[in-house]
Amino acid sequence: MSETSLATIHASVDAYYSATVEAFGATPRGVDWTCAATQQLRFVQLLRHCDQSSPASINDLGCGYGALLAFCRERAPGWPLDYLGIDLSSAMVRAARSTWPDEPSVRFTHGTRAPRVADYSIASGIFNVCGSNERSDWEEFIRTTLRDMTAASRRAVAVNFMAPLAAGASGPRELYRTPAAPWIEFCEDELGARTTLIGDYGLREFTLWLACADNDARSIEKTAERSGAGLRH
Amino acid sequence: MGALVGLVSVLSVNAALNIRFSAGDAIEEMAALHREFDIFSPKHGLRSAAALLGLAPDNETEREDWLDYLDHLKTLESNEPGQNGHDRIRSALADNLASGTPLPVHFLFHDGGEDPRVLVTTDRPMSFVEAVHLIVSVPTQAARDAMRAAVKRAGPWSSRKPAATPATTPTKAPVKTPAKAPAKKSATKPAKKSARK
Repeated sequence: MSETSLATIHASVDAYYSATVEAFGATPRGVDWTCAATQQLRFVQLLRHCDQSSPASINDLGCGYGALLAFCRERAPGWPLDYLGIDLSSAMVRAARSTWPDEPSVRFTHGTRAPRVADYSIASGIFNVCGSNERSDWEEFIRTTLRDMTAASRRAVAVNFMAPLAAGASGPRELYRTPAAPWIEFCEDELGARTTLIGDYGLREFTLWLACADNDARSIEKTAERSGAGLRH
Repeated sequence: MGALVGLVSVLSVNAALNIRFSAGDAIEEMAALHREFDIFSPKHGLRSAAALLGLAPDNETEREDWLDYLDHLKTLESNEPGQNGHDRIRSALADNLASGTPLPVHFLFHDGGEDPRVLVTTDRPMSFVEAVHLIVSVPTQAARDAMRAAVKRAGPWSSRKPAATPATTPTKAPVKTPAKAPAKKSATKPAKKSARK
């Protein structure tokens, strides 16, 4: 995908979510969810396989105002988290920073990808609103994003997608709906991630849990390859 | 409702309720939310359920009025003997959503002057709708009627007594219209209460 196409998509996403947070503030509707309950039901699925018994770092891509962090604090109050929220809407990042002003283990940054490797990378709803972008461009944006997320994750990536509507039903063209199969195939074949499909949780969508191959080992391997040295297993 | 919650808010919230509890994906979603968060269990009130589900007006004042109205349903009777209106709605929704095959729910209003109870039934909500719904109907009264009833109950101006001047402020400047100000207050207060019934 050309840098220009990707930049166009990022700009459209930025404009969309900057407008929602401007209209509705740091609320579920401000990040375009119907309500707190549906927003949180998605978090339940995204965090379903996270090991909450030990400290973890999380990259939350498309973090909005940091609702995932609030949910973690409420649901798993004893889970020590090193949280980084990333959002390409600077208006959203401002809203997040004002919501979480003084937390040493909580940071927010403006951008399109995580600037660090964390245990988990999580994204909720970032692939849903394709707007007027071409479907093929949007799918390339998803592939690029999934590659970035996998590269920035030691343990796993969790993302969700909207599933196709029932036969005969029609919905807005601005929403991207997809079957799970092509994305499972992409994640397993191209990203090398063991992929678990989470569905049937009451929303017409699905969540993919991508258990990453050991990224630390991969990066060592790549470094070794670049330097021409062999790597012994 | 009337004097308690503005007409536009009532209509928009009612529309949102009927969409969010409609047949198909919507009622399945609601059942899933109830399963996960126990939204309509006895430990939560309709107020918190409405807030969690985003089923309240956007405007902050109207939102509070609406949530107050949901609390006010506790003071009403229902068509289930011994159960107040609030609890009747909550338990009917909980039972329906936990049933495994939840009915879509249709919310409407009826004239509180004809039947002051909250009514929960099952029926087809409209002649052109085939699916049987759980129907929740709450008694309401138009703001104008509520005000008139309140004024009538308050009696003529001449019969209304001014509120006693607070004992702690006898030396302050005298109130110019001691009779009128408290009377206005007493006329407004019952109006709001009567609107809730």
